[in-house]
Parts: sequence; C-alpha cells; structure tokens
Amino acid sequence: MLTLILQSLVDGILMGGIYGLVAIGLTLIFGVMKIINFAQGALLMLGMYISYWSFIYLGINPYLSIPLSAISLFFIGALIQKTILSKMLNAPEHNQLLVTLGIMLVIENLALILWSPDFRSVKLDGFIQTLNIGGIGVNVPKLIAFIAAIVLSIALFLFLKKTMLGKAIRATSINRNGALLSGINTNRINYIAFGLGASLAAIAGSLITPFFYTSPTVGATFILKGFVVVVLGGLGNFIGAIIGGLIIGVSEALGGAFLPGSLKELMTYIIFVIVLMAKPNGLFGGKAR
Amino acid sequence: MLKVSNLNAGYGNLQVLRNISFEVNSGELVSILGTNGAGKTTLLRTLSGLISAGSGQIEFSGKQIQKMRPENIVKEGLIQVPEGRLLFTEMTVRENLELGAYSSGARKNMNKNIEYCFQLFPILKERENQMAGSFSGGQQQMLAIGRALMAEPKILLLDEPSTGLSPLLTKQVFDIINEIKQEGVTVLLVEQNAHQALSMSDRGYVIENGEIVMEGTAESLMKDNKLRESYLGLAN
Amino acid sequence: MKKSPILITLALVVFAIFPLVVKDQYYMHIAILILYYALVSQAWNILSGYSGQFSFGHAAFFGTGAYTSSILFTKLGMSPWIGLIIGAVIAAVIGLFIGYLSFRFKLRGVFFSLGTLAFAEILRIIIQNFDVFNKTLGVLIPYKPDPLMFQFSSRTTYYYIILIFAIAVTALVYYISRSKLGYNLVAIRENEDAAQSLGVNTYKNKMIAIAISASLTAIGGTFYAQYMLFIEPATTFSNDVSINILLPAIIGGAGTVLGPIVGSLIIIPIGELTTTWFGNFVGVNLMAYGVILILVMLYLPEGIVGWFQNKFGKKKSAKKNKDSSISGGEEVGTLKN
Repeated sequence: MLTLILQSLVDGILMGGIYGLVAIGLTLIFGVMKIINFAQGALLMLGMYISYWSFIYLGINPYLSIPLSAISLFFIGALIQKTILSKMLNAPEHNQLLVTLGIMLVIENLALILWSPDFRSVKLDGFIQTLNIGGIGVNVPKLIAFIAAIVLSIALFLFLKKTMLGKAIRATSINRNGALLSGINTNRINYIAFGLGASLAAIAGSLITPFFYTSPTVGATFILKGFVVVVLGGLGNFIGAIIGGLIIGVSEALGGAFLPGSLKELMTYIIFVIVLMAKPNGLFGGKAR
Repeated sequence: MLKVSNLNAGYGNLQVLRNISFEVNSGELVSILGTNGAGKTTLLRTLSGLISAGSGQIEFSGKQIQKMRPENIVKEGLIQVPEGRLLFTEMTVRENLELGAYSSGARKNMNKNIEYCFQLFPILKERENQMAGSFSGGQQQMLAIGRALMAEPKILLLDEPSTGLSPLLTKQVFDIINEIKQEGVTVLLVEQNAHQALSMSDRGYVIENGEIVMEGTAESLMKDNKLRESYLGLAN
Repeated sequence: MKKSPILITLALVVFAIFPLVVKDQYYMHIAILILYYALVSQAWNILSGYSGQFSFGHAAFFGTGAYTSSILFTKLGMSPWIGLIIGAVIAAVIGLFIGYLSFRFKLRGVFFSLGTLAFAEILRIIIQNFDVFNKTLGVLIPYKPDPLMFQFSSRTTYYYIILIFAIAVTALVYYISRSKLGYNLVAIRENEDAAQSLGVNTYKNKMIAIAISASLTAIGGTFYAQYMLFIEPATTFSNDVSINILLPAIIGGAGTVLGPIVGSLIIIPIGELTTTWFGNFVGVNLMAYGVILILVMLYLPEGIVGWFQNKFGKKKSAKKNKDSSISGGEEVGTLKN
C-alpha cells in the first residue's frame, strides 16, 4: 500500500513537472497579453511531431532535437501573434478565447490531415528505461523530462529577473501604458512573449516524446490540464504554475492508483471546480482579469 | 522645441481636444491649466502617442511625431510622468529606474543616472530594493519622476504631479521640477494647481472643454481677472 | 430586430416546402443537420449570447438529453417523447446546479467558460466509467420505426419535426429578447455590476437563462439520438460537441435572434462540402471551421447578423465604434488596464 502511494507520488511529481512547463507558457502569455491561449496544447503537439519526425527520418535523439522544436515554435508563435493576436488585443475577452480556439482547431486538424490520427511512439534503444530506487520504479525518460522542466523554469525565472528584456516583459505585464512610456516596444514584447510561450510548449512536447504517444490530439489532454494548473497556481504566477503542476500531477497519479477506469481524470476537474469557487485567484494569488 | 498645431483627438466618437495649438520653446517651463475633464490628460496622452490624433500636427525637435509609436517618441526625448504614475508596482525601485532607461540611447548612462536620481530623491536610495507598490503617494511620485529622468528627456511632460499630495510634498515635488528646469530640461507642466504652476512657469495656457481659451506669460496670466476668479479662487 | 415579416414568411415557406421540392436524401440530411445545429446553437444563444456568460460546456446538456431518452428507452421501453421531457428537466437541473456553483461564486468571463468546460468533462468521464451508461461503447437504438417511439422511416418526418423545434425555439428567443428577461440579460452582458446596482437580480436572471438554455439543448440531444440511432460519449459529451454548438451562434451573431440560424446555414454546408471534396482526410471540416472562426473574430467580431445590424440598424450593444473621422482615438497598443 505504502509502495503504491510512494510510486504514485513519484510518477505524479515527474509528470507534474511537464504540466508545470505547459502552464508556465500559458501563464507567461496571459501575463503579458492577458489572453488565454487555447492553442497551447496544439503547439506542444507540434513540438512533439518535430522531435518525432527528426527521430524517424534523421535518427536524431528527441532530446537533441529540442533546440530545433523550440526555435521552430518560437517563430510559429511569433507569427501567430503578429498576424492574428496582435489585432485582438482590445477585443472582448471571450472573443480572444475564441480566436485562440480557432487557432487550435486549425493546427490540430491540419496535423490530423497531414499525419493521420495514428498514435505513434518513439523507442529509444540502449537506454535504461527504469531506475529502481528503494523499490520504487523511476521512469528514466520521465525523470529527464522533469529535471529539464525544472532547469528550464529556473532559467526562465532568471531571464525574467536579471535581463533587461526579461524586466521589460515583466513591466509590460504589470502596466502596459507605463511600459510604453518607458520606451518599451510592447508590440515586440507581445510576440516575444508568445513566441517564448510557444517554445516552452514545444520543449515540453519534445521532452515527452520518448514516453508519451505522439498524435494530433495529444494537445487536448495537456491544454485542459494546463488551464487547471494555471488557475490553481494563479494566473500570471510562475512559481504557482510549477507547484500547481506538481499538485495536479500527484493527484492524478494517486487517482489513477486508487480509482478504476479513467475516473482518475475526474480528480483534475474536481480540483479545478473547487479552486474556481474557493480561490479563483489561485492558491498563490494571481491576476484576476 | 515642441509645436502643436490644430490638434484634434479623443476616444472613438467622443472628441475631446478641439483644434489645439501651442508651443514650448527650448529651456522653458510652460504650464497648461484647466479643471477636471478639460482635456489635459488626453492632450498629454496624445503627445506621447498613447492615443492617435484624429488630425493636426505635433512637431518635436523638427520631426513630425503625431503618427509615431509611443516607444519611438520616448527615443526622441519626449518623456512623460503620467497621471496615476503607472509604476511597475511589483518591481523594485531600482528596476523601475532601470526600465526608465530602456531606450538604447539612455542605457549607456544608466548607472550614472540612477546615482543622480538617488541624489535628487534620497528616499529612493534608502528603499532601493523595495517593491514600488509598497510606497506612499509622494514617494511613488518621486519614483515616477525619477523613472522619467532616466530616459534623459529633452522635454519632460508632467501630468498633475501634485495630485493627492500633501502641501509639503507638493512643494517638494515642485522644487524638484524647478531644479530639473535649472538643469536645462524643457518642461511642460499640466496642473490644476494654478498658483503653484504659474509661479514657476515662463508661460502658460488655459484649456477648457478641449480648447485653448487663454495664453500668455505667467505674469500676465496671474494678473488676469477672469483667471484669478476661476482658477485661483481669488475675488477681485 | 426589425426584419420585415414578408421576408420571414418567405423563409418559412421555403423551409416548409423544401422536402416537397428536394427529394435527394443526402440534401435532406444536410437540411436536418442545419436545423438541428440551429436549434442547439439557439439554445446556447439564450445563455451565452444574451447574458454574455460564454459556456464552453454545453455538451453537458446535449449529452444529458441524448442519454436520458436513450437509456430510458432501451432499458425501460419508455417512449423517447417522454424521455425528451425528462431529459430536458434533468438538464435544467444540472444547469441550475452548474449555475449555482458558478454564479454564487461569481465566476465570470473566462473563469465561467473554463468552469463549464470542466463540468462537461466531468459528466463525460462519469458516463464513460459506469456500466449503466454502457461506458465507452455507447447506446444503440434498435431500428424500429414507430411514431409513438419517436422513430420514423421517412427522413422527411424528422425534417419537419426539427423544423418545428427550431422555429419554436427561435420564436422563444425572439419573445425573450423583447421581454423583461431579455433586457435584463443584455444589461447583465453589458455591465453586470451596473445592472446589479440598478436593481436587476442578476443571479436569478442568469439562473433562468441557464435552465432554459440547458433544457432546450437537451431536446436537441434527444432528437440527435433518435435520428442517428447511436450515441456515445465522444459524440455527445465531448469538447468537440460544445464547440459545434457554439460555432453557428458565434459566426452568425451571438445575442441576435437570427444569428444561430444564419451561422448554421453557412457553416454546415461548408463543413459538408469540405468533407465531400476532401473526404479521405479526417478533420478538414473542423479546420475550415477554425479558419472561419478566426476570420470572423478578426473582421466580424459581432457575427454576420450583428454586423448587419450595426451597419443598417440599431443594436443594444456597446460595440467599440471605430468611426474615427474627427477624433482619431484608436488606442495605440494599450489594453484594458
């Protein structure tokens, strides 16, 4: 029994790191542009496919193709922002949500058309799949993904805290007019932020390619969980996104251990509903709209 | 240095500024007086590019800036201390000042200018690493002015800097504005507090319902009877 | 909404005689699809279009209607006509429950939308995991035409039934839009706090709206079940269903009486056309919907009917008026903060 709980905890924490990474991208975009990006999951999916195809056709290890997927999605994200979202900055918030929904529909279904709904997976050889630590099985690809997610989060945090560009991004999300009056090109900040958010999604996608199935609909799972994590951690709150991710990861894993069938997914949504009612600004405080 | 001609601006269908024309010469301190709703803030927002003008010209240092993006106007050296201060409340004093120097031109002298700000406003140095949001109104105003100075302004626009401040703090702020003027910075001061403003200014304009209704040297305005009644509350 | 009665009558006549003129079963099917989407989208419109509370989880109500009547029929032999009513009632109750949790706890805007999405997902997961609902296998309704059991051998009959439903719901929306409830809902949409301070019981009005919206959507669900004769969680409770329900209203114009119908008339044929031309590719129609959605949000944010009303008539809406002849005023790069 204890082993089961511990195993679930470990699995949950590892997966939670990935949820946190997706949520950080969402929260960054929301902080700067006040837009909730429904297409974040679809962008993650694109990152997955870039790594998948690199592996199949070029034999590149998914971990090594991370820079490729990150940079590609940065530009795709910036493009989406410049062509579509920049025109929606002053639109009513439900329209903003709908437009990102539209973007998600286009990306997801384009992928369905191009690559069919088949589930694919990547098998890495010469690779220890599981480490045994004190009777608990630790899935190595998941562990790598978790460590990478944490490292990336710290790197992003430092970037925002220490660099001028990072400070400009924070300033824009705190007070847009103040940023403009300080000489910050907020339009450029917008697409940098969106590009960054898309990159983060892509990196998450590449990281999970070794242990998660690749399919055009993969995004749907992550976007819903991403929303829950973001709301749980507080909109615009980075640390909250990580901790929220861990909480959702763990509760999902515990649910999976003790609840039959796919009821474990219920855990996530019920937590969501409770948080929405009790503390809509998140456990750690974030921006309300 | 700054020449505004026939400026019309507003919000959507609501026109606020009607055919505004005025100018500010290099080294001057010019005041624009008016009550609430007269259009003072709209004017400053338009000058800084936050609102796009419907028609008219804004010429600054020889360039037409009415269609320029706000961040480029800052690069040109037209800097505003806005109404409401618009500080980055969840960032430290130092970070706010640093961001004031975001434009590439001003970044070179960033550290030197931060020291200058600390000299002008010792309280800012004391609280260098505190969040701007934790400050009182007067301290925030100091920080806002400091942030603006970091951009090495050629002209400094101030939108009602004395709002919400005690008389003592108001005097402090105006003393500093005077000092800034002595340093050679051109100043455009928008104020409700007519007496204080005029006593420091070279010239002034009065704006009412979006139109300039009076102009002249500070002296002549202070002596004007109508003005004395309406804005200075002095009977004749 | 001032549309001439002549045009309306003309449209009704066209709809009424359509089956007499067109005999092709494929086109009949498309017409039924158009009308049934118009119905559920119109139902969505009552809550989301008029009161501005955008629901992303109407699949919850749709699925409730479909499953209630189908389970009652296959397990208890109850006529789906009665099942339809029971389904509508249950959906209304679920709607009130969701409304209670949302409105009492002041979920607004995006939070409300995501909340409804979560509720729909919760229902879907529950349905998928319990035997009484046949889990993921779905419910198959045996083919046995019987008018009393809401099953017909002729498509034409289905057509007239859905036509009557669609007209009835549209008439209801028209009536609501001119009633006190309608005005209250619009006031809530424009500025809920202001409406509250003016004495509108925002909670009560939103609850009424969600109950009506839910029950009418459920009726659409029952119709779907009886027409398709097969339902499963993926086609009744999923996210896709919620999206399909709101699309016609958004594109046609949320908060207008004719919006959902116009929207349906446009996107269903487009969906079918793309599926026909690119039939071997799954998802072309959804991609087309995505493109249309993006274009509408960018260029016609009020929807097609909304755009018409703004151009040629009055509309009770605080649309950002871009008419900037004198005053400019396009806020440059600034946001609502």
